[in-house]
Amino acid sequence: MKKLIFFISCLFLLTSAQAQDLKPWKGGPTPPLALNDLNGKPHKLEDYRGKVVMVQFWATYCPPCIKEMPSMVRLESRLAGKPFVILAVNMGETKNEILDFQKKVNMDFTVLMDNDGEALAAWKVFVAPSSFLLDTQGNIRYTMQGGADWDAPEYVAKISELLPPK
Amino acid sequence: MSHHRTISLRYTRRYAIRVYSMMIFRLFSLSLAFALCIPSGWAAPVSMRMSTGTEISLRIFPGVGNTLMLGFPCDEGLGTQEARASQSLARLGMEAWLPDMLGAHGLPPVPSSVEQIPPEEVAEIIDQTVKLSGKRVVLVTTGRGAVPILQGARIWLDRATPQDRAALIGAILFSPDLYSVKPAPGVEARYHKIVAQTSMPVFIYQGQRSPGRWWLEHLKVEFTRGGSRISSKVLPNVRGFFYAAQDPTDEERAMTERLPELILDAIKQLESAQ
Repeated sequence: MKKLIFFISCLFLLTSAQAQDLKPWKGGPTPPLALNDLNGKPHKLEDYRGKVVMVQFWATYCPPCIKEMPSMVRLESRLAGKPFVILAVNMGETKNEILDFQKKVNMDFTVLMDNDGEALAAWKVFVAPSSFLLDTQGNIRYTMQGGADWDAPEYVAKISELLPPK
Repeated sequence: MSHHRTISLRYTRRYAIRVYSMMIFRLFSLSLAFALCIPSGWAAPVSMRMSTGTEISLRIFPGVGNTLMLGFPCDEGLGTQEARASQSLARLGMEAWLPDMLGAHGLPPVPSSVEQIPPEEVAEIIDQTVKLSGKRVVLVTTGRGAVPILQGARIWLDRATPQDRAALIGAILFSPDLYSVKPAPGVEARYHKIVAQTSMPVFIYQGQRSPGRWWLEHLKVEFTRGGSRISSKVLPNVRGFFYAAQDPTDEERAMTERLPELILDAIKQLESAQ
């Protein structure tokens, strides 16, 4: 009986975890972001002015992160040719851990290394995954806690609204 | 001051008689249970009746030592590993009592259930455990369970005599979730008020592979503000709920095997903080 209740509860939690929503940002200015990628190349948020940026904090141990990665790849494909970029900030794991993960999960976007949790603290991230959508001026417009099917029409529409008109 | 007189100062005579009748009955039940619990490490099924009328069953792993672990349920599973660790601790001489708080209220083992555990009942369990066992008690809990357990400890500490109070060694928290509400991205986290109200020795274990690891020092500052003596350890290469993981890694399996050792190490730290 206990196992049945546990199973039903897990099922409920799984379905409720999928029903995430983008929350309009009501906080202050965008925190700084200056990190190296897996090849040691430095990236600054300022380098991406003029593009809509999705900054996502993730970890290889986080099941919703693993689940949503393919939808993020599909999202990038859907918005190919448009000024949109994903910066996936890893939460303090080693390069080897991430490379091992990349062998299993296709993630064709920029991975940044937050080795000492400095960005995580500045962006006030408490849960993985946590996502921030920035407009072309570098202002945070939406946040989301938890995983999502990022190529679903409602998310694509919200992101497209942030893109500059043709 | 005799034990009886201390109690009678705090409760009405009628209540004291009721409490004592219940205690004598339970002492008898426990003695019988202990007598049947040979070899050590075998869990005796007994129960405690709360003043609210709730009947709480608990697994008892008798140990010969003077320390007792009062372990509360994990919010991420069915407590299998906690029971295994209790068995090992009992073999090492440390008694362990595992009350089934969720089962008593027909709640599934998820974080939202743990929040429904009445702190008053936790306080009663601590009280009965201290009085029935005569041992020094350490509280152990995980995740969201830290909220009602620390609240219960606070209630008990406020009511206990100085003599009884000395019986509570402190609390060991595994990956505690002590936010007042689930923190949103980009927004300063707020901790539950019990963090600042807890003023007893606390030891925190946090898995390295969890976001909570990055906020551990922040949480420790909040505990210190309330007057708690706090120490902690980040457990390398494991997730927050490593012992309840459905897909444990080799490192997590190895760390789960070390649970009894981790609890004993934390108790040493708590005792040195007293």
